[in-house]
Amino acid sequence: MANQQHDDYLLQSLITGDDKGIKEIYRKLYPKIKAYIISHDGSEDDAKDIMQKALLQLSARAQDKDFRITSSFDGYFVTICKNLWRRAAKLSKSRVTNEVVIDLVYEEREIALAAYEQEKWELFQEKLLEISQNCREVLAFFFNKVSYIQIAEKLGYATENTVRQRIFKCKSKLKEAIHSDARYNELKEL
Amino acid sequence: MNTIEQDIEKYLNGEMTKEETTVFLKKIDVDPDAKRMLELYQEMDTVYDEKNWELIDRNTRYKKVEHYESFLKSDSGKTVSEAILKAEQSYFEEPHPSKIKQIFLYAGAIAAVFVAGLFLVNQFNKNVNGDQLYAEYKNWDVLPSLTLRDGGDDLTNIEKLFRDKRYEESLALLQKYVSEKDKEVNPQLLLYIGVTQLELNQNEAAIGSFTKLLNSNTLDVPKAHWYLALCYLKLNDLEKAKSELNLLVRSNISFQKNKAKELLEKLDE
Repeated sequence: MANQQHDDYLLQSLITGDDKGIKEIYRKLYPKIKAYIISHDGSEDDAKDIMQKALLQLSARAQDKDFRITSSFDGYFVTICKNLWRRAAKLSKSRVTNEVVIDLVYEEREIALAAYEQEKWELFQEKLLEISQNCREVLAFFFNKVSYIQIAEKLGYATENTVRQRIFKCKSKLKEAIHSDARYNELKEL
Repeated sequence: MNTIEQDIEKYLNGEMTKEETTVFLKKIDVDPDAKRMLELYQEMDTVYDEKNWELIDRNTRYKKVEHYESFLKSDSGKTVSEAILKAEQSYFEEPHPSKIKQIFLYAGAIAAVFVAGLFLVNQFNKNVNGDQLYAEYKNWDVLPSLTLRDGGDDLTNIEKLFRDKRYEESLALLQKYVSEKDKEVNPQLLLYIGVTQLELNQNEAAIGSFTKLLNSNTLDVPKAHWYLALCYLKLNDLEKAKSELNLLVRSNISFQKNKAKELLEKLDE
């Protein structure tokens, strides 16, 4: 209970903009974030930047009355930061290969886009829990680009074709689970 | 007859012939449900790939994005943003174990400025010395790693030479790399070239490299202001240094912003 209260206090400080509570988040989590970023090819400035962006993003999302963190505040916050770092890598890669033409985007829009993407990512993760354990396992390999043959070997399927059929069915179930969730449609609202 | 879902699977796996693809895309075009389904399958491919991240269209009109954006721009959003900056500042002012080294370095720099000041005090009436500030503020650890990109061993080697302060060799290899492989010159390489030139006292050339970055069409553009400011500090052209720092502070990136503000205060002393 004490933990939960402390977590609530931290989140509340981000909703109202209480710098004492936010400093507490820095004390508790900045060293972890910094260690993560530095061990993933980033600098200390990158760590500071990710920390700020994660706090702003979470504040924007937590303004919604229905917003809840289902895990611990710490774990949740670290996940946001890891995703933001993955996002930064993707952005810089897109820039280098010119896949996307990127204008200088205003800070607020950038944070809003990241918040949206994180929200969608969370929904997609949650939906994975609605398909069978076996499907989750096959799809985890598939989405992380493991070949059909390798999946067959790892999971003991007789042929590549059986794996294909299995993946097709599992993807279809997962797609259905996402599609029928009202929150997915909400994300797509214009 | 294939179902549309089977077609989508085939299309996403890249298993369609050119003709099949054309037919498929035409079919999708007139069928909004199928189009949405394809979109969802594509989203799944990116979102569930742990090495990837789905970047949505930056100009999107999704209600949610606009909702978050308007909060961040509102007065309450600004209050939160200021509270974060305040908390950050106060957190970093506290002594942290890993900061001890920095404090020693900082004290060392102050002592150096002080000693230099004793010698210079009769010669200059100016109490700010650009070259000293340059030495104090240059910190090449903030340069992003080159090994992140798919540049192979060449870039890894260049970065290693650079980190070992073997600037002449690293500049030669950088220039070779750029002339052979990277015609467009990516911004990270420009940063390395400029910094290496600065270290080798090719100051005008360094200014040239950073100006090139400034004129490029990338998100790294505002970073160029920081490095140009360092060039001008080194050349003791304090007014130009200040104007670059001001441009950085007003830009939309947080890179070295606090340092820039700190430097501006020192320059105004």
